[in-house]
Amino acid sequence: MIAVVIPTIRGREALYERTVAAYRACGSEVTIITVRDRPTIGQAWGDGADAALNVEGVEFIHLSADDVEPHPGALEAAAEAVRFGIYPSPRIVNVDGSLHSCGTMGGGMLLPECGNDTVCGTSPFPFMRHEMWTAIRPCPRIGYYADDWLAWAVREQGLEVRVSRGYTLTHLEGTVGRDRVVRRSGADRAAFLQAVADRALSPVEA
Amino acid sequence: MRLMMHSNMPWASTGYGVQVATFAPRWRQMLGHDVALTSIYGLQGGMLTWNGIPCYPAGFEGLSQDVLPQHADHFKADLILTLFDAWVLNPDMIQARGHRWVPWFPIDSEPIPAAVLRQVEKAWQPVVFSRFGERMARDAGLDVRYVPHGIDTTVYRPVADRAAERAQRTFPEDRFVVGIVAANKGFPSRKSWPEMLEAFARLHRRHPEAMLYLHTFVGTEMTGVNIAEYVDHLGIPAEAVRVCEQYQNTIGFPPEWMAGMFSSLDVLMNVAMGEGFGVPPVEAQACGTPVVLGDWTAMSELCLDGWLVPKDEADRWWTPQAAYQFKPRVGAIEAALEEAFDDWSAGRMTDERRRDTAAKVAARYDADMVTREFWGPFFDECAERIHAEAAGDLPPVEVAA
Repeated sequence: MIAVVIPTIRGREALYERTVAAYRACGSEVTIITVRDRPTIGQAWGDGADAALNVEGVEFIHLSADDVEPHPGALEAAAEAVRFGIYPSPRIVNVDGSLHSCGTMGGGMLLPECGNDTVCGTSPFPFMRHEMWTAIRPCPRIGYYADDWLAWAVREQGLEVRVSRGYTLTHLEGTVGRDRVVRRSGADRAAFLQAVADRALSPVEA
Repeated sequence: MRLMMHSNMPWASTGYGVQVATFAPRWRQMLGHDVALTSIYGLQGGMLTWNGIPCYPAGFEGLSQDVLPQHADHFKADLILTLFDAWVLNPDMIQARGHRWVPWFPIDSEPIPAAVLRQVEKAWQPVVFSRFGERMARDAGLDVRYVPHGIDTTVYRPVADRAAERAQRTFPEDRFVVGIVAANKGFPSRKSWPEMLEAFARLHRRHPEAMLYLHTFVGTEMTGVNIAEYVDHLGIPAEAVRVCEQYQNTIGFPPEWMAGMFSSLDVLMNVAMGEGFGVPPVEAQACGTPVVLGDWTAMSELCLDGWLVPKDEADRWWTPQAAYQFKPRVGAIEAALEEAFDDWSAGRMTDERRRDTAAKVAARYDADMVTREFWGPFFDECAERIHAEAAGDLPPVEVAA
């Protein structure tokens, strides 16, 4: 079973409902974990993933958003990639069907259409075994770059980040209530880099 | 967030009122916050809506602190900001119902007066509006933030036809016009009215082409200096003095008129004993006009084009608030005015220089920039702190198979 963590905040109820309905309809066995009104997505993903550890039967944890629709078979494709030791980076399309990105290098550098299994940098919508979450948790409480930190952490655990074209999502591009998040991207970038440095210090250096 | 600003109403033509009018709409429109205003001065008897912003009336206590917490409850305010002298405010009244108090307050003396420190150290987050104030507060161990005052540089900018503006005010083209735009209030005069007037009188004796423009109440109605009598006593001839229309000063001059006036001056003089900020010198420079200020308190950082009277040319004065301000010596102000006169008579006050000065001011104090670069991050920090403080109250994670 796949635990789908969906952070949401007040004012985005319509997007949230549409997202939940899409996950219910995507053909995979899912448990929806809703995390409301956290100040950052890093904190929301963390709280949701921690809750997923207590749900019986959960094999995978998928950290999502409240403005995403998985395409049919998308979660199965991601799970299959994980079984091969891959941390899958999704192919994302816009509402009008145009390409948003086919994997990403992190830091906002989005890849154009590219082949399946292309080595890349991060995944905007993390998908991992629940044991992996136990190994890498907690996620820094940041907004921007939380996904980049998670990708770095799973690489530390030996996974490769690669494009999974079958793991296709539609991004609804909901901007309601996100002004503050957008403005703080610079501070989050600094916090992300510091979080990497903090965890990467050897005991002697620390 | 939901922000409640407690100060003078935005239509009041006071320094604080103008800042409220400048920033409250920008918090709403540029940053997306919900804003309400509560009245220390400017509204009694009922609520009004100003530019879509609800305005709550004054209470019965002199600074309306008796009703402020109830107003904040009614509005469901996340923060109560005050823009007022902090030493007269009562933290226990403001925070009586657990609201977060954010005083945006002046420090105009050195060190931070104990009476100010005692109040603001009880605040949730104090904010000062000068780098000088920031330094004084931190020297006293206070954790403050800095957000400067701001001006609308689409209004305060060099006018297109300066000659026409001067003519409107009967400033002849061949006269060197020194302006003073300052409240005339209290003894000793915080704005140093007697010293500035005497310095001008000396300048005028040497250079009869010097003129004086006074934008203030020239009588004693605000318990200030009897300027009309003093100017006469100093021997400054009436033909060399222009005074703003006194009734219009009561009801307020439009910002566009003020910008025209500032643009018409050759130099603005504001050698106060202490300044928490000093909006007129900034407005004048935004219009391209250089300034004569004192090199102490917030004035030092406001002089982007002009002359600073050295601090060692002022005598320390221990104020009733128990801190020092600085009483400028007449000769030092006179020397600064003489340098300004030299620039004018040598033709160095060019249009290009005025444009450069205006650009420097816009880069530092433009209200849109201050909103974007200072208020935005500050309110973000507040929001995160509020979230963190309420961490125990976050909604539980919902699991639905």
